[in-house]
Order: sequence, then structure tokens, then C-alpha cells
Amino acid sequence: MEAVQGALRREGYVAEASLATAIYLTLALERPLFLEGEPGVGKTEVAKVLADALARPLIRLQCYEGIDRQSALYEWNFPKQMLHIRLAEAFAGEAVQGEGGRRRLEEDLFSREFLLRRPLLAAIDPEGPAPVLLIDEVDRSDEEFEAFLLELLSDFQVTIPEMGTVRAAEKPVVILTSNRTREVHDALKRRCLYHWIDYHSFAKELEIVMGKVPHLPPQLAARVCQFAQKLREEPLFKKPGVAETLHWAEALLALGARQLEPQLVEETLGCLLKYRDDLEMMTAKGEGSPEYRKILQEIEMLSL
Amino acid sequence: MNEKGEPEAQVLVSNLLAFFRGLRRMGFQVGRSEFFTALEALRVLPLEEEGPVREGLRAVVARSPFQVRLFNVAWRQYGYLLVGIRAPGLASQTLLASTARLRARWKGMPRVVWMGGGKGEAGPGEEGLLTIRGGQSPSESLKGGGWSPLTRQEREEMEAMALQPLWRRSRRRKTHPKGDEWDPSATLRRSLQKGEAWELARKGRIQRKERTVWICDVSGSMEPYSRMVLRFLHTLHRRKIPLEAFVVSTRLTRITPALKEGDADRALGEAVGAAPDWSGGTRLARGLKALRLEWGHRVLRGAGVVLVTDGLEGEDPSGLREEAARLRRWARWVVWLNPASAGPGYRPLARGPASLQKAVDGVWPAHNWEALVSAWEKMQTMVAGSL
Repeated sequence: MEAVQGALRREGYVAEASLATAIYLTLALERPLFLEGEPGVGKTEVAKVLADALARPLIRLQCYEGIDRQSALYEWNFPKQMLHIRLAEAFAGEAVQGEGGRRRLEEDLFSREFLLRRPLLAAIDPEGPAPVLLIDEVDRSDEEFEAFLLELLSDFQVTIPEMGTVRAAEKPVVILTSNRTREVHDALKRRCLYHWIDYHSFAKELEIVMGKVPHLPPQLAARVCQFAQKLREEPLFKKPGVAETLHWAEALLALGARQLEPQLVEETLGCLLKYRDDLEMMTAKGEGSPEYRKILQEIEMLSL
Repeated sequence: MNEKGEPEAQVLVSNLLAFFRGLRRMGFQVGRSEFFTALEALRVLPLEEEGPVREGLRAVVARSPFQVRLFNVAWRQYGYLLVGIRAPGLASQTLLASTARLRARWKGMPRVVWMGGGKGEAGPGEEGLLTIRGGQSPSESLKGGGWSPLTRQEREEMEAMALQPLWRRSRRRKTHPKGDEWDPSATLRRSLQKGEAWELARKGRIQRKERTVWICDVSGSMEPYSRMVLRFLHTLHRRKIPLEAFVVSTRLTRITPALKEGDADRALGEAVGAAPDWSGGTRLARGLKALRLEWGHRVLRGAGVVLVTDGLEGEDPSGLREEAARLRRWARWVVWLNPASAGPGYRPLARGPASLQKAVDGVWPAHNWEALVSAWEKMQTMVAGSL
């Protein structure tokens, strides 16, 4: 487990012990890992970093509503097949006529040459070493696709009717992520190890910011994290994740900020809050000063 | 080591079995396959360290953030238990198991209360006791509204209702004889059977059931209608029409789990019992806000919202309109079923209804069963026509 944690850290990912344990088990038991958490806490990043650490290729499948077999698993290259038939007819007229010739043509048509391999098939039947397969945002896909994943994830094999069954020689490392916009079916979760990634603590977030934006003055980095942590306590529709904090830190660095000036904060608050309702709530000038200034003052008080 | 190895393994397995039994009674869905996965996990985990073992087992067993928390407490308690009493067979008689039994007696989600240690201060190694409370807490059983059994006529009305789901054309395509697009894959597949391409296969959009989110005002002024609306919801649910149901009076309560009960009387009794504020005041805007913040990401996307209310808001009416407008941005559509609008001379003059009317896609009466059914049919037309 320390090895996993260390390897992730070398790649610039700060993982808590429980996540490291879950990843270790995923590797040891060859089971998919189901990561759930609020947006922007680094779920997708786990897969990327893991691929780097294991020196395996990363195959990513982004889910969306209506995703189907053709775009996720495989598709026949029809134009090429049609062309092949035409060519066969043109150049080997008699060869195609007989019973044997036709069969041979069929075999030709449904061979690997005409198969377009989409992410899932590429993961099961890779050209190189077994890859890390990232199935991103499963909650966006619909139930049909979930059921389809079930079959794939339990056996790591796919049956292509025209060709036969393809089985993974070496099981890929599978990471599924979900933003929990809807509950994913229990049957899918049962086949996976589950880990919930929470918003990070102040110390961890600071470590991440310092690691990813190294040129930011340490004092400012601390302020940035404090501000983000405070912001998460507000009743926002979408709380800022670490991704947003990093985004903000980069913006502040680019603007050459030395400290959190209220004016500057108001102008860059869009990095943290992506909804108009939330922005309005934080910057509304009702009675007294706007909400974000109060947070800034609180931080000032803390650091004194 | 070798001699000791055997019994140790046995103790481990029986401990794990007892622990799983406890978890099962607490509502975890753990079966044989989880058990074997857990054993496999234990084989590769360092058994002398508590942390990794706990986190590893948790990854196998838990399936939601709530279960993650529940597991942590159960684990701690089981740990105390094992230190105190050696024989694992006793585990079924313990607090963990008995609280779980209590849970089974009182239906509904267990409420976990950590005793000892202030909120947030208790570290992972701190004292923690798990008690599970079922049903309502005494302070909330305000009116005890209760549910009188359905009359024969009501039952007949519910059974006679033949409703279709709200069909929406999905973006997903499938081979279909009347499709509007050429399906090359199917064409070629068929041509293989016949040796030549006889027909062009087509594909078209499939139909999907639209999910609706019902937000029912059950405040005092809605009293005469709430019962009917609940019956309607239960009937929809029995017809396998996907829906989420919330009731709102002074607070927001999700009653979807209650509707799952097959028997209408029991389901609706439970729904009424789940909302402590039944027939209370109206804080609709606040309820909608709670829905948006707590459930918005999960239930609103891709669903239609049905507001059932008379629109008489106890608090600031402009807040109601704002919240409805926000819902409108998240959901596919928002309609308002207004029982009060049945009278011929009704006009939304009070500020609440007037402002709400501007923020929704449709306002239809819902004063009796026929009105509800016809409103549902209007929704069908609306959904079928969109996209």
C-alpha cells in the first residue's frame, strides 16, 4: 500500500491511505474500481496517474446518454467491406460465384481487418500490454449501457457474433467514475470495489496546490486553500472541487497576485463558481459587504 | 507458525462471517460473492494492520457514502466486541446485531447517532456508539395525521386507470422497419442471410419513458387534495412509470421509497408517516430550494417536474417564482397542477400564484381524479411532441 501511495505521489497525485488501499486491492484482485465523489475531487486523475505509474497505456471511454455498442465496443467498417465485395466481384468473378468462394469472401469480410475497435474492445484485446481502462462518468450513460457493462466487467470477454469470442489474455485495470448525478445500479456496483472520494482536507488540498502550481507563493497558496475550504461551507448549488481551486491558483499566478485583494477575488471568482446563481449569491451587495468579503475577512482573522 | 496458521484462519473466517451477518442486518446487501471477495482481499492485505484491512473490506462492502460511514461505525463496534469476547458465535447476540434487529422492526433508513464526543471532534479512534432510531422522533410527531384506509370506490378508481407512460423519443437509435435513417450494419447483416442486399434496413429513434419528479404541496390548504394526489402517484408507480415523489409543507420529504410498497394502504400510510409536517404551513419556495440543493443533481436532470400546489405561499412569493425558474433551467419542463384553478372564474390574482404561473410551461387544473388523468394526458402530448 505504501508502494502504491508512493508511486502515485511520484506522479504528483496525493492519495489518502484508504484510496491507496482500494487501488492496491484493485490491482491485487483484478477487480474494477468504482470511484464516486463530487465533481472535481480528482476521480479521473486517479486513472491517468495510475496508467503513468504502471507504465501502461490509458484507454478512456467517456459515457453519455445514448452511448451504444457501436461507439463503445466495436463496429464493422462498412464502406471498406462494401468496397471489398466490389473488388472481389470485379477481379475474381468466378471465385466469388461458387459456394466455397462465397464463404471465403464472408470470412474475409468479417475479419479483423474490417473491425473498427472502439475503447472497450481495445482494452480487452490490446496490441501491447493490458491497459488501464477508464470508464468516465458512468452515471451519464443510460441503463442499457450499464447492463452491457455488467457482462463485460464480470468476464472480460466479448462475443462478436460474426467472429467469435474475444477474451482478455491479461485483465485490464478498470476504473469507473461517477458524479452521482443518479444512482448507478447495484448490480454494477457489486462487481466493483467501491471508494468514495470526499472533498480534501485543508492540509491535503494545500499539498496538491503546492505540487501542481509550484511557483505560487506559499502564503498565497495557503490563503487560496482556506478560501476554497470556507466557500464549501456555503449553501452553494455546486461547491468548488480541487480542480477549481487549482484553476484559481493558476489564474492568480498568471495575474501575478501577491495576496488576495478583494477586487482581484471578485474578478476571478468565476474560476471557483461556475453557476450564475452561486456567483450572484456570493457577490450580491445587499446590506453590508458581499459574502465573499466576509470570508476574506475571516481568513485574515485566522492568519493573524 | 504453520501449526498456529490453521486455527487462526478459522477464527478469521468465522469472525468475518459474523461481521457480515451483522452488516446484512444493518441493511447492507452482502452475499456469498461479497464474502469470497472479502476473503480474497484479506489474503492480499497486511493482516497485522487495522487500517488497510478496514479500508479494504469497506471497498468490497460499501456502495454509497452513507454506507461508508455506517461501515466505519459497525467496524469499530465489532472491534470492541471482539476484544471483549473471544467466541465469535456470540456476535449475533450483540449490540450491533440487536440494533440491526431494531432497525428491521422499524422500517425506513436507520438514523445513526454518534454518542459521546462532540460533533466533528471525534477522531477515527474515538469512542463511538451506534444507536439506531426508527420512525419519527417524538418532537416531530406533530399532528399524527394518519391514513384512513382506501374506500372501495377509491380502489376501483385506481385499478381502472389505464395510463401510458410519458413516451419520449430518445437519441438512441435502433434497427426499426419504419426508421428514418439507413442502417448499414443491419443491411449488410441481412444481406449475408440472403446472399444479396434485398432491402435497405432502417433505424430510428427508440421511445423512452420520461421520468417525472412530483413535488406535492401537502400544507393545510391542500388537505382535500393531497390524498387523491398520493393515490394517483401510487397508481403511476404500480404501472411501472418512473417517478420521484417529494412532499412539501414546511419541509421537504422524499416519499419515493414509501411508494415502492405494493399495497396502496401501507405505502400511502408510510408516505404520510414519513412527512412529519403533514398539513402544516406552506414554505414551498424553501422546499424547492432544498430539493435543488440536495437532490437537484440526482433527480432533476432529464426529468420533467410536476408541481402540485395551490400556489399560496406563506413566505415571500417572489422567492417561489425564482425557485421555479431555477427548476425550469434544470429540468426538461415544469408544469403546475393547480387544484384551485378548477372554478370557472378562477384567476391567479394573489401574488404567489400569479408569479408562479409565469415561470412554468403549463398550468392545468387538478381538482378531481378526471382532471389529474387529463393533465397526465396533456403531459403525454407535450413530451411526445418535444425534441
